[in-house]
Amino acid sequence: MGSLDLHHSARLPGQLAPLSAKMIRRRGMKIHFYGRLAESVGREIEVDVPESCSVSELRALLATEYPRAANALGHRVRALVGDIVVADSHIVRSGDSVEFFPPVSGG
Amino acid sequence: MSVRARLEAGPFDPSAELARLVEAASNDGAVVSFVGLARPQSKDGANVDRLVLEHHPRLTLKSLEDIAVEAAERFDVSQVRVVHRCGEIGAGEPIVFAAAASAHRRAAFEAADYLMDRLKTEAVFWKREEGPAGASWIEPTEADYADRGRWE
Repeated sequence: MGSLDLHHSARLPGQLAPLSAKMIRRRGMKIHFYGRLAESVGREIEVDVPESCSVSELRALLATEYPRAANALGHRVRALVGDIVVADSHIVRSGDSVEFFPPVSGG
Repeated sequence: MSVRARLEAGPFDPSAELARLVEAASNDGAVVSFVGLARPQSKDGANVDRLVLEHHPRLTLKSLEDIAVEAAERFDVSQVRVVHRCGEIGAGEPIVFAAAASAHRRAAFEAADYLMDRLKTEAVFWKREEGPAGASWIEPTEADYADRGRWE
């Protein structure tokens, strides 16, 4: 299990001031990965994310911290919150359990 | 109408599944079943010892149930069955049993075809082939997505 501490390092793409009100840190967001993503990132990590962080911003943060997973986090990888698929514009909140699904396949 | 979907962590017997379905379908006129097996070779010809199917603790079974229910709603069938393995599956072992029964054959054929096209692209599993050359993740192909698209 890895961990990610973004207290001093994180600056979302396009944001100039690292300590705006929006950037208040909140702990406790668990992120679960499956399939090839679990192999390159780990099955579960806990991250600090800015307040009002969207799924697409979360993808960018994770891609910065885990360059090996950068491509894997984009193409056809779905994000789920509370077992529901959410859009990239969805705002994740402290305490949310976020899951990233690489393409699924049965049969 | 009887719709059943099951996730199996260990080997299962497709012939026993079929026998039970035939018995349950005694008032129907047709039973169509499909059995998927773990291939001993990958697409590029490398030997495969086992297939590993990772699953989700809540959403995998739900995906099987949803697909089975939607097949039952879409086609004029009286019975739908899906049995799907998870975990480590040796080459040659059954992965999936998908079947339907109906009064006339066409609906059962179509329901089984539909079940498999949906399962290939929407059942919540992550597949990895393991063999002497290493491991590789298997994802749906464009052909799989195109097959799924036939039903939209």
